[in-house]
Amino acid sequence: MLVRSTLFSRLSYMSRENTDLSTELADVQKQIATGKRLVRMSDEPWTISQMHQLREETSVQSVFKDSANQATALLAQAENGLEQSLNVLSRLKELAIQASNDTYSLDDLSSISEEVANLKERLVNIANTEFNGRYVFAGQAYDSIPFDNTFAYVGSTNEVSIDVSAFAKVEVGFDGSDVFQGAVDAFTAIDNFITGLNTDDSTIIQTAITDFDDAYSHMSSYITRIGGEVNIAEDMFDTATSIEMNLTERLSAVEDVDVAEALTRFSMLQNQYQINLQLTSKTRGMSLFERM
Amino acid sequence: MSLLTTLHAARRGITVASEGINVVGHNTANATTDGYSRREMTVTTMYPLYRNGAWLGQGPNRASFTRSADSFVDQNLVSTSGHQQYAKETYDVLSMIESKLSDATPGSILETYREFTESMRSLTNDPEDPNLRDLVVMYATRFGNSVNEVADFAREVKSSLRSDIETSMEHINDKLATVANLNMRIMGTGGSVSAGDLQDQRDMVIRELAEITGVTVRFSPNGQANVYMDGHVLVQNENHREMEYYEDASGDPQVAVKTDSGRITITDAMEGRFGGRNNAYAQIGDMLDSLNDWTTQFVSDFNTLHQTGFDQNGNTGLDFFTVNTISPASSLSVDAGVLADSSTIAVAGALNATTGFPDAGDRDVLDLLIGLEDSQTYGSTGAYTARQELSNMYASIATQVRAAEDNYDLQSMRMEDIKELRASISGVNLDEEAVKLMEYQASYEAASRVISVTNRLLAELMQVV
Repeated sequence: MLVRSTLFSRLSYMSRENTDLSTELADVQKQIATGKRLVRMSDEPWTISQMHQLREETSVQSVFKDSANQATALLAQAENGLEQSLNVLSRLKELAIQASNDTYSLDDLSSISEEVANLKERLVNIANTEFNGRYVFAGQAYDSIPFDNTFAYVGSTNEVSIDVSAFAKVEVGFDGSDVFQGAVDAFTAIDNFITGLNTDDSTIIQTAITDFDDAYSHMSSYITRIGGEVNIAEDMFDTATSIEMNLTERLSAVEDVDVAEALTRFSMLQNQYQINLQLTSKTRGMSLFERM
Repeated sequence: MSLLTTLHAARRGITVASEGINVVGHNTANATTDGYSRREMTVTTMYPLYRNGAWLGQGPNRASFTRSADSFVDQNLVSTSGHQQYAKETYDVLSMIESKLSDATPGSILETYREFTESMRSLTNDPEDPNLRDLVVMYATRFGNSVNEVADFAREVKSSLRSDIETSMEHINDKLATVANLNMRIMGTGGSVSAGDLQDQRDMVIRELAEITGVTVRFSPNGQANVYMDGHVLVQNENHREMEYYEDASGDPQVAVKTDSGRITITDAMEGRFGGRNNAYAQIGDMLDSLNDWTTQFVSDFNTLHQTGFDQNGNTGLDFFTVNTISPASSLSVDAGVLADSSTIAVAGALNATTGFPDAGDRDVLDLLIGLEDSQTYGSTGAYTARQELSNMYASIATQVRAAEDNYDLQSMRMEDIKELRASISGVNLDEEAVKLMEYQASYEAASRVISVTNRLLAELMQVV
């Protein structure tokens, strides 16, 4: 027990309490204003590593989301190109079958030959498909045109992949030499076909039919593959989105303030503060000297 | 029996009452003076006079003015104020570093590091895209800047702490001399009111010294104060020893007690603001060391891989970051070549034999660079990734700040308790003083009434003559 209470100690006690209260008020105010529970790192040093981890993962997932989107767009372009190629090859086969029919005259054959030359032009345009500045069938050398005007492949034989998760990659750029010249060189096959048409050589035209068939099935297998890649990209986009949401929720649980609670606390502290101020000003008059 | 004796006794009553009023005045006027010790006047009766077979009272006698103080409490107050200031200073300095590092601060190291790694991941989608490459350079530059900024700030804080300690030495030595000098004067004044004032004044100087350096004090029964630092005498009665500043071989600040035979280093035993600063200095030093180690390892790992890659111009063996070995964290920056032209970022694993340049989509080295994020080779045990080691650095500072804050709260509470205890012993209660004032006033009035009555009696006697 203290034997003597003094004005000085009472006032300094009040002033210390008021200082503490006003710091606390400022902290709660800051919490409400920023929406963050932790005003300073030192509020909870043990959560720092966890929060950094969550932020790092969130940032990685956001990149994966963008990547998956980009992959889907590039794959759609490749798929589109390949489907057109298949149309071209069907038409070529149709023409080859027509041409193999003996009833066609040389004139007829030469008009077919003209159409074939156009189709070849179309096919090479498809092989040189460009999306967003990237040649889809140029492999890793996607910044330059993969098939030159002699129809030789100048692209890269390495495929281009995009990371859509920490473990999954999606192939989005293909080796054009394999797509168009893999099982059978489509351009050479067309050239042979034209020679066959111009010379009316049925053996060559027959060979062309099988060649077009082979090229067709080879390209179809690419379409199947692209379908698979698109599925992966879309799945991974969904995964990244849900992981990101999950992480955001967890991060929010760690660092965000419960506003309702903070507001209640704020008004409680404010009340206390006002009471203390009143008390302080009353303390001043509490002395016998006032009565003398 | 003599009327004159009565007159003298009453006169003494008036003197004592006015001295009492003086003491009350002194006390009430100093009611809120920090470090003031209440004065009390002890009054005894004068030795009685034996006359005509009777003992006659001679009135009151002021025996002494005493200074209400408890040396144990006062000693404690001094050492606690040293602890309190130690914690406060540690907290103040470290929280500056904390807010510099904090995630809430835009462009903190961790945020810029994250942005940098994110920009590299984005580059994998199209390694030849000049915009993505420029982004990587921009984020790398920002990251470098934020590392520089923290390192520079830490160094600045360190050097200002050092110079503060150095320039305050003279001030401290003045204070020590003042304490010794006041000891001497107190010895000379005996038990007067002024002796108490000198003691109060001296104790305030000692408390100030404790707040700065964390000295401790022992009061001897004769009113002298002896001041110690880590058990070494600084002031003994009217003699004192000086403290001095020097820098050790590694350039760190040291504080020592100067003795006849040399000096005794007491740096790490210091409390008070200097002790706190010295502690913060060491913590910041540790953080800076970790940051330097981190930067050195990061740059070396990154550059080693980057050198194996090929840039868009077909060159290889290029650096991405540069640092100097003396202060890696302060000098971390993006290599001038990369900064000038982002096409010199070497992310490709090979050259295309035909073109002599890497293929646009070749990102073999970029993948390896990104893979560095997951390599657990950082920290003294090599068990952390680069990001984790940065988090550790953050957490370590935050924990220090938290510890200092908690310690400060604890010491402040103790300080308040001791201050309250001291106030209860040495403080001025105004009601008590008011009552004493009434007493002395009444006693003064009564004594003057006695004088006036005695005076009238004497006058009547005179008329008889």
